[in-house]
Amino acid sequence: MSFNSFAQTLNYKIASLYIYNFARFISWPKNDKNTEFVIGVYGSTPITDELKRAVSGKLVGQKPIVVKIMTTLDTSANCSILFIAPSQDANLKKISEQYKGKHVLLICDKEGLSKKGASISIYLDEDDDYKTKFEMNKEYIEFNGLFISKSLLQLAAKVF
Amino acid sequence: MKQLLLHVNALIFLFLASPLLVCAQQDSAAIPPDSATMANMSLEQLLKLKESGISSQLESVLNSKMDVASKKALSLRKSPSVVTLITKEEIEKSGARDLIDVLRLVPGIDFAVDVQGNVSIGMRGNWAEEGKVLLLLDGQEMNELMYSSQQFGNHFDVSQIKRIEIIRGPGSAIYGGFAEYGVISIITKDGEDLKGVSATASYGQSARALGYRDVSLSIGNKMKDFSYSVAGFFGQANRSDNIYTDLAGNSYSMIGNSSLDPFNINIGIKFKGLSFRGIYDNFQTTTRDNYGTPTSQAYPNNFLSELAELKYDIKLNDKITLTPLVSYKNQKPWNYTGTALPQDSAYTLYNRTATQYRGSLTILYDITNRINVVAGTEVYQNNAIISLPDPQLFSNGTNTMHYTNSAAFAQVLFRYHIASLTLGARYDNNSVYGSSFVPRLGIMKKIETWNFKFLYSNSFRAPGIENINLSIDGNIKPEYTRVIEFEVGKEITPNMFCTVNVFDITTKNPIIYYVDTVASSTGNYEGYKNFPEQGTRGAEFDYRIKDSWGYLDLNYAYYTTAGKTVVPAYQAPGDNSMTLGFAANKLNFSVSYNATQNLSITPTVSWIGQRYGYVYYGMGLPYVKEFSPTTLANIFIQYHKGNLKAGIGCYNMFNADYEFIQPYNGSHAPLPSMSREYEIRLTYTLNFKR
Repeated sequence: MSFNSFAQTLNYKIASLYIYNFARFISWPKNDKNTEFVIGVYGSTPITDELKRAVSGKLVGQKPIVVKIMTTLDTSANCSILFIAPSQDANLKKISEQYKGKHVLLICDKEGLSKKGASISIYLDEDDDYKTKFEMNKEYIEFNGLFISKSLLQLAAKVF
Repeated sequence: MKQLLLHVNALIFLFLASPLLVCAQQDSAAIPPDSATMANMSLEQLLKLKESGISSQLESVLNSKMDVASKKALSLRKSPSVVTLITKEEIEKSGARDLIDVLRLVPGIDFAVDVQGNVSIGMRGNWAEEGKVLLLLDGQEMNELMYSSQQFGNHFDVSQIKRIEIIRGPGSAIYGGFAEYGVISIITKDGEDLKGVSATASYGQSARALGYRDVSLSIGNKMKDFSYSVAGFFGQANRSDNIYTDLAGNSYSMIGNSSLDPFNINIGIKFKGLSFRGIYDNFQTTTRDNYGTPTSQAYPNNFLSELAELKYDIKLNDKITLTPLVSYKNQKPWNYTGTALPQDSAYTLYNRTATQYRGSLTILYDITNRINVVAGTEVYQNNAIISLPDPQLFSNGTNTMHYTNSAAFAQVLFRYHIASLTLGARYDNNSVYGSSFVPRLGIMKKIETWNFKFLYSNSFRAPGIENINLSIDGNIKPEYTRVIEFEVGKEITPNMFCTVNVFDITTKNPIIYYVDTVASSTGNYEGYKNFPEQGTRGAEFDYRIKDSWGYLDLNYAYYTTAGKTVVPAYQAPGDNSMTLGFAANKLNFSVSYNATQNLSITPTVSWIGQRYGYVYYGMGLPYVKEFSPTTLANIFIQYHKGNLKAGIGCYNMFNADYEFIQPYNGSHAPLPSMSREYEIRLTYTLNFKR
């Protein structure tokens, strides 16, 4: 069955690999004392298992990547990346306010959400054969003290 | 008989060979990568990925955005029209000499002759020369304003084309009164495409005469927000090397009597959202085809166009783009200002200049990711003047005519999972012939590898200046067309795609040139008048394969007038299923095979079914002839290395006796085309250093 049939939903295997690549192409502040690179997943979403598989045994710099499920929002959980499940999209603005300046990359999975609080949003492009694309909000990301490589910016379908 | 067998053998070879070429290729694009492979992919590679694998070359073409059908960039399968996209690669590899060679391979399009040797276009069995198909060159309307016609045959430079987007159905709801049956939008290479200098020299020779010799030069570059392109095209050609015989039996050789000499300069400049386009097009032709008997020598029949457009895309925010546009058009079509010999006095002077000033404002508003609105307003003024030595006056008793046209249009595009929907309409108000309103509706749906389009469109043809001037009863009105289309597309594999569509066209009040034995209320015996109805219906099929080995395109078009009303002058006498000049059945086949990385071999074949046209019978009498099916077969071999592209080819390989037939009963005999022609083409490109 082809990806563009039936559900026409995001392929989380590909999305997980995108997230791993974001971790490689975005720089976090060097004074970070954490020994692990934490990717948090907030809300119930099938991406969790795919993400665990995708980052298993991988490093960002010298730090091993770990995936943590978060049932409540905890800004002291030392996440570097926070994936927000679609069930929490309605709270995005609030979440974004909460993480302002905390050096966290907020990732969603719906087109247009990087204009509504997400740093990056991964989505399906129906007009381009249902390929997985991503949009970035450069302003949000840099405001949170993160540095995006030029090559990553060039690969984004949209930059706000 | 021997020749027929040769044709059949060649066709069989091509058809049998093509599937072998296809099967010989691994369908690598269809194989989805496994998890381990994906895990090692770069982000660039992941971006090309979908679950069924990496997008194939064909899918990349199908998904490339085109905006001719909606002014909003949409993929081919989602555009709210029956569309065809022709790429630069297809044009180059086919060795097409001109637009006729390119467009003849499109289902539903064919060519016929009007008067004074002018060859123009037919769409789905309907003659479309005068204002029924809009021809755009880099967004500029190339239809001349006096009769609204287009001129084909060594007119436009095919080597500068980046792509051609074609609506094979109506486009009036966006483009107005010239887009009744279709829109052909030619997009040439811009500064970013060129980034250097390019020169192309082409030469064609038949056994008897020069076919054509053309030179194309272009330069362009892009530096940050600024880009420019300047292209020039100059040449000479003979329409044919055969003998023309008029309906009274007079004949002459077309060699040296059917010149097609282009002189075209095309300038594009862009800085951020501001863009300028300037086109100078001086198409000089000669003809001996006249009204009554042929002239004793060739006389000029020139078409001059000067066009300029300035537009500015103002991005108000992420969602709204506002585009004000002003344009200017100055044309001298069908121009002849010399002194004809006494025996050729029927070849009349024509020195009329049409000028158009146009202004428009368009807004593109992405209300949400799924709802888009395109709306705008447009005003133009057309002026025409008759200058000496042309002694005539317009029907208003003066040597000038003026009229204005104001229009408003809107289109909403909804893109939901259940289906995509386009709703649009255009309203025009003209100071001479009143108002027109044309709505359109399109429903597009994609299910797995299938896509469906249901399209209902009204369109209209605005009377041109001469339609108004030569109105037989002084009361010419726009003609209206209703087109219903249904298309099904199927992606058979990532490398194979086919579409089938059916259409039904009904034109109310078609504008027809008419000669009567009784004077009209205004005392005229001949001129333009609105007839009751004209229409065709039919089906088109298009099958494409594209892969690393090359590409294949097989298409078939069928139309019939059965069950439709046809204007008597257009009807093929004795056959109520066909119009004059256009074959009810037409089959096109092209395959391009990359023999090596640098060498491509591209045969193209058009099989044009039985046609009808008036010819000389003898004893000074014309009669309707049934023209047997014709096969036009061509081959082009292209080699490229580094900056050089070199090609050799043969057009009309079987030396078929193909003639452009007059598609109405207008007292002009079929115009012969070129016999077998050998061609050579060299292109050298020099890129600017980065």
